[in-house]
Amino acid sequence: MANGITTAIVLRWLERYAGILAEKKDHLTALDSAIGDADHGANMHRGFQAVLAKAPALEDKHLGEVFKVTAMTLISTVGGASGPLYGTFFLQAGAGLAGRPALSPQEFAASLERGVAGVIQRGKAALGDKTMVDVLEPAIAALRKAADAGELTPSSLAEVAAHAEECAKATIPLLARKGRASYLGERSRGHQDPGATSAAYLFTALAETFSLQTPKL
Amino acid sequence: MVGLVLVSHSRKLAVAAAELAGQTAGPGLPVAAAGGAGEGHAELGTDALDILEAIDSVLSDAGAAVLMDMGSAVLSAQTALDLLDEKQRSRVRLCSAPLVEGAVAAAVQIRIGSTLEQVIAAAAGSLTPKQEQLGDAEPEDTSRQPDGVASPPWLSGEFIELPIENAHGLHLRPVAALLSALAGLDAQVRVENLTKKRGPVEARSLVEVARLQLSYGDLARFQLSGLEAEEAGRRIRRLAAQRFGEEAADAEPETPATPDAQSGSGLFTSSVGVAVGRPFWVDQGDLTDLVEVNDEPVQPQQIPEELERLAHGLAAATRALQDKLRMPDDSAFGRQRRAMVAAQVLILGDSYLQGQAEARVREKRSSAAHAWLETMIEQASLQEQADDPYLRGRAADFRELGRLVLRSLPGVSNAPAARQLPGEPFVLVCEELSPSLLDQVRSPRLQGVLQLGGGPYSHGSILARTAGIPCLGGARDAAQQLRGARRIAFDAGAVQIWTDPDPPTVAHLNDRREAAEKAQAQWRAQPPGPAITLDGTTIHVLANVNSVEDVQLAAAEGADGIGLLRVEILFQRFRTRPDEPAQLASLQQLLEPWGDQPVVIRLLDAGADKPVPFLNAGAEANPFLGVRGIRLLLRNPEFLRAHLRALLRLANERNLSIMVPMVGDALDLVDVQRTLVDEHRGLLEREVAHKWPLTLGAMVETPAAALSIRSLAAAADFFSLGTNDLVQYLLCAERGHPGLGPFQDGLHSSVLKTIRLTAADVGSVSRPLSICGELAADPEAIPVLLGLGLHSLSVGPRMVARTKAIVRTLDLEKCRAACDTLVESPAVRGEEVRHFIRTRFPELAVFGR
Repeated sequence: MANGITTAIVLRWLERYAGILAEKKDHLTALDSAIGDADHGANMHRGFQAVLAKAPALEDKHLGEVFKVTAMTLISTVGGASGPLYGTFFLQAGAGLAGRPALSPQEFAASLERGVAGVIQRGKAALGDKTMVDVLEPAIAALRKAADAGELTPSSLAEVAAHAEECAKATIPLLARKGRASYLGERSRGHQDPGATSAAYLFTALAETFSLQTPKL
Repeated sequence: MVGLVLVSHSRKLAVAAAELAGQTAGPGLPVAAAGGAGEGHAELGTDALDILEAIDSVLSDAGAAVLMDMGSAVLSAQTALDLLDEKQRSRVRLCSAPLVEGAVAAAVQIRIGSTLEQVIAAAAGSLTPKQEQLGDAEPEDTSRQPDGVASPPWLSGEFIELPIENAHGLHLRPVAALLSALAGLDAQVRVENLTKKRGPVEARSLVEVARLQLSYGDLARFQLSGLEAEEAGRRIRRLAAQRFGEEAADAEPETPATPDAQSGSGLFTSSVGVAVGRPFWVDQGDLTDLVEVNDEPVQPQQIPEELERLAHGLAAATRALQDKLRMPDDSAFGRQRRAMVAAQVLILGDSYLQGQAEARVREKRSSAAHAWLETMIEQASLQEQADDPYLRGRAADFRELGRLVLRSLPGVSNAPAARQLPGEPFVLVCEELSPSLLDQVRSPRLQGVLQLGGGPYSHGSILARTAGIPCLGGARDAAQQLRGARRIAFDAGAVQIWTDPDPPTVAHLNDRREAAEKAQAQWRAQPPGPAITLDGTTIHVLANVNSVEDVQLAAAEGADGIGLLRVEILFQRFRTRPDEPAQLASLQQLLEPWGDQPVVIRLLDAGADKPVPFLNAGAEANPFLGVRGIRLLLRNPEFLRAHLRALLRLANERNLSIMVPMVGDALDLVDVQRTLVDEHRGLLEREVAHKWPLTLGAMVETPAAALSIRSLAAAADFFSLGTNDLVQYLLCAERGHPGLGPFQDGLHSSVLKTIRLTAADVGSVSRPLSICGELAADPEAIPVLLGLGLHSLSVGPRMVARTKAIVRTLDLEKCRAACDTLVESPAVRGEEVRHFIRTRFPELAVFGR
């Protein structure tokens, strides 16, 4: 438990995620225009640019604060449904972390588990509804497995990220049951869900954060 | 005035809707618009903080209604609600009404000064006129939200929908349970069978509700309105969880409540205390005997006359009860008494029961008296079959109503003469204490009540507890002896009766009673309310409880919360593992007398000195150092899961936190946390209402836990020092061991150092810390605990008033200084510490030890 997931690591993760969103915002918007209202990429990009702007002031803050500020920023800047959903994810992930400068891998997994539970409660989506939950749940379960095995390594996280990406792809044949896409009914099949896609990037960003980080936690 | 908040993806739309509503309702409407995203809210989208501000700007004590368009507007509004503090949140309601129609309907209601419930109801119904005009939709579609983000099928404010789980559906008995649960509430409840498309009908008559033919698996909808609609909803959900008073036969391994089986003699405690006096016998008459007396069939031509007599009798009895409802007694006793009377009025007025009695007159040519008594006896015996001891206790209500109406029948001479009460202190001896009998005999000379029969949960027993009248039940075996006695005495707490006690016994009992009364009077004289130290710090004084009596007492004594609810005694009545509904029902019942202050439930702490029949650690050489507390739970994952589910659901209706007993290290907590998340997801999937997240705390009762607060804090939201176990584990001395006194004192310096360390570590991770061991109520320990930084003391319910009184004499600065001196001093053993405290705080002497 000597080092663990620190504020610095989490901030780097969020920065990396903001970077990926900046690269992929047009792709996300394209996915969203097929089955939604073509704003997911722009919304997420706006939200995480705002988070990026606040990151420097968070360097010396505890993790509870980092997650909370991230959450509040997303809630007030994203605009679409992903604002309250991603906001809730980070808000719940940070619950109970006040005063904590670092988390063990297991605690980190537990924190993300709280986050996804919050998303499920907020959005009332279940696995298979063609939403971000289709990625968050299995990817965090994979992360939990890696954490339970003892430590998070670049290779174990790369596996988690790969799994997340597969799960995002697996939303293509699904019928959307929540959100705007559900209006399309059967016509929602055959498209990858934009929310699931942006959720998968979270784990890509996490794996990249670690591969740039110390080789071992 | 109720505030109105309108939320749309388009700020322009929200502003325009607000304008429309304002123009319809007239000037001065507290309405605010929110919507749009990005720079200047010019883009389409919603922003929870923007909504939060809008709510803030119109929220008053009358509350606020929030209407929104769809999709992220709903999610953002819900998120905004999460960001409000709890008190504000309770006054804000999200409404699924269509934005424009709903806004106009709500605005009109607001302007005429309606309540939040009325405003919401008007908005929710606002689509109906248009639908009726166009004839294009079922009215029930108004409750569906357009984008599939459906509100939970549970309580969304206006209605509850739930499947019927009773094997035989809602037949008369469960319906009777429903009606009596709603009795006395200012709420209109309409019930509908959605599956069979029957109803809705008013939940007023047994027969009408029974006609809905709600059978197993049918979906029932309860529509709620009125001032106490929320409470009605709570009661309906609670009752449904108990399958309307009918736990499924296969899921009910329950043994009778412990008080019933407490001793071979059948005696049980109804209300603790000591009583000495001359016996005062009141013969209530056995109901079955009374039936036989009135057994003669009447002549056919007399039937109309008998029916009229019955109607007169019922009306007269109802009037008598209604007079009691007007009793201007605002004590806890008075309020409780009125609630009981109100329930009785409901039973008397029930068309089904009246119909039963009338049918007996018509078809069996029974006299009015006979018909009514038989009907009541039948209801009482149905009630006696209830698995739940509390519901069984309701049988006495039917018996009492049997007697009451009998006495009210015109021309019946068995109306009781006003009872001449003895002029000296007396003990009432009766078959069973009924509320009306208690009304008749209440006097300063009434010392106590001995019931030959009765039950611990009868209304008479409950009232005796509230009024502080000592009361024993089940004394039939002693009846013979009691008959001849000139003086009787009993100690209800010790379940002991003396006939013609000798003078030394009387003196001893009197001394005990007086000492207890005197001490009590001293703290009781103080006003209830918070315990504030001389320097102005509020110390929370909570109660440790394990029975419904404790809960009542805790409420009556003004506890600021329940700091420790022990479930071991409650669960002892289950012979096999109670499932989730059984656990939930028994906890709901236990907490029934409690208000909305916080409650901390400790997970089942079985093993060692607290065995339960259904979880067994097996034989161990050292049970206290063996598999107990959380260790036992983690070895029985299925039970733990059911336990956590019951608590997650209970938390939905109670201000609840849970804490883990016998925590050894952080992994114990992580395991619980993980199971909790799993069960939360399971409930979510099944759409069972529950609270999430649930606050989870750790008991600090092992030295290992005290030494690892920082790592425990990763999974613990709060901590509670369990000093009873901590003392014995720290000083290695079994509690109650006769030869180890100095090592059983919680004021031993090693214990104090451990508490000090714990308090400092807990402070450094910003978590709350309370203490729930016996030490918390020890007058000589309280200044030390406060000095060490504890601001929350959980004590036995009888100790609440005294503990508050002690806190009010203390100055925190002085307590801290005393602790600093203590730590530096050579005092080691508890007695030395106590000597020091007595010298420093001589004012505490009056509180005893």
